[in-house]
Amino acid sequence: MRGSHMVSAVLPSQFAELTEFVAQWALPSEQARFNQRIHADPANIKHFYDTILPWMDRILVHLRDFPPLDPPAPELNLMRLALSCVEVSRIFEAWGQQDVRADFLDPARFTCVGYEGVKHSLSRKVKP
Amino acid sequence: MPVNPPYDFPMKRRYEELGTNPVSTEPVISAEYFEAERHAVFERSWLMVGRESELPNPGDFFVKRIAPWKSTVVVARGRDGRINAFHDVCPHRGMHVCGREQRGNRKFFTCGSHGWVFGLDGRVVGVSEESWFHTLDKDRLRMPPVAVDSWEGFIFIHRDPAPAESLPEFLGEINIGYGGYFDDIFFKPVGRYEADVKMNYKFYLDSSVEAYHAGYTHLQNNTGQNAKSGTALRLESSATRLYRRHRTIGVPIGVGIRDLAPIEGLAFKHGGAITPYDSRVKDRPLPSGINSNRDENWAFDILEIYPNAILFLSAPLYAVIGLWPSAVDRCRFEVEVYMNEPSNAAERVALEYGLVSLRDVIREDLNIAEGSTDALASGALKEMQLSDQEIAVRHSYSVLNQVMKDRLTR
Repeated sequence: MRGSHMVSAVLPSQFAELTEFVAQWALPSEQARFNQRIHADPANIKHFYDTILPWMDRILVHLRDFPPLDPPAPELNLMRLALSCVEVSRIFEAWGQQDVRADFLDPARFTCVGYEGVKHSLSRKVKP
Repeated sequence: MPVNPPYDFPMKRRYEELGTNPVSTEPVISAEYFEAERHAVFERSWLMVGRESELPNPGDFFVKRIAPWKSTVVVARGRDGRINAFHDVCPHRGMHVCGREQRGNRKFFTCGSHGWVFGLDGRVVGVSEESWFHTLDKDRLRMPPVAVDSWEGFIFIHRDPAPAESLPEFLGEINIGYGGYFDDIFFKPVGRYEADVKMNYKFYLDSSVEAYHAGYTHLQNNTGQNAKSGTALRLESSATRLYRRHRTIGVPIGVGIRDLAPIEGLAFKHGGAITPYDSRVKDRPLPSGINSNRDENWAFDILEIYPNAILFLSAPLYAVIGLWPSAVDRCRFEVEVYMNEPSNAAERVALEYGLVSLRDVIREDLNIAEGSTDALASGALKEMQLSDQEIAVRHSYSVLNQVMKDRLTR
């Protein structure tokens, strides 16, 4: 299952109502969120977006007090849910379809290194 | 609803010498043309490969595939602080010393084939079982060097270790005018995307320097621009500058005003500036080369550095695109995005909105580039039509054709 490598299914207590989404949507990388957005069942995506949208302002107010990389586990899950919301939002707010036009460029040939990927690669050192 | 005034061909009047004829499809579909282009263009140009800030310390290095050279190059900062670049090939019997693309920090490079050891400048510093060799001029042996120089913190390499043309000469008109913009304290790498695209690399160059496509290719996807307002995005003649080899265009925010989408609005509310369309960043000072008209309605510049680099330059973010063709219809695409680092997790989420919206605009352009490459492959179409608004595309083919013509008389 796509979300099985999640850290833990726990959110800050005031956001506990969103717990049902953690397994599927608290994903660790932009690539995973992108894959989920283009492959998940559309009704499933719509349910996630419609449910989390009214929470997003409160989520972002809460996240202001935490670091952008490696916040505590509950906030990490919450941030990952918010990042997934951003990923899928353009289906409903811009495109009216699950992806932009990609009838020639196969998404499998496109790699999202993303923010965490860039930070990881900058901190990585190869042993002499 | 604003309507564009009647069109009077301002680009043609400004750049008469470029003419108005259709352009040939040969440069984008011919394998023979590409092979000639590898030598005449890519092996004779300075190529942008990264930023000096990627190699802050002695021993820092990265290994980069330079597909149009059919080579892999090591770029490393030596103990003396200087940046060196050399082909990743062992002078013994030719295996890659480093191998695949990677980055890290080393004191030496060791070939896994027979154990030869090289310094950070590619020179041989140790040969295993050296007494077995008859004659070995260790002072001369090295991983073959390439020329390296930098502009505004960007590392450029040239295949000729002693190129006839220096980097400042190569950059020409754009060598000045950008000082201070690429500030490594303000701008940090925050996102990166890569793709293997079945396209001729020039199709991506072409879509980058015209705005005609924006209201169509990006119809549903513009972030704050005017695709839905009913008028095409038009470039100002005065914001288009065509140089000896390079070119730049200034792209306006547009004329339409629309409500922000829910998540877009929250991203602006909780984040720093994450797209060029955020009016809060207008007061960031820019050097004379960027938004050189000081246009109030300016969103971003595109600077194309011949032959394969595209810089997307705006007040809150810049992006660097590298196009690395390996065949007439194959290209490695890379883009690195630089913005102010998010200071908390809410800004991190807002940043994601800027990143994914830019990413999907890029994917739309790549899709068109791949589709166009496929559509033209049959050779049924011999020419492409260019409007006055696509003058920078015309300029790109004009520069290329001149370089290809000159190669025959060199």
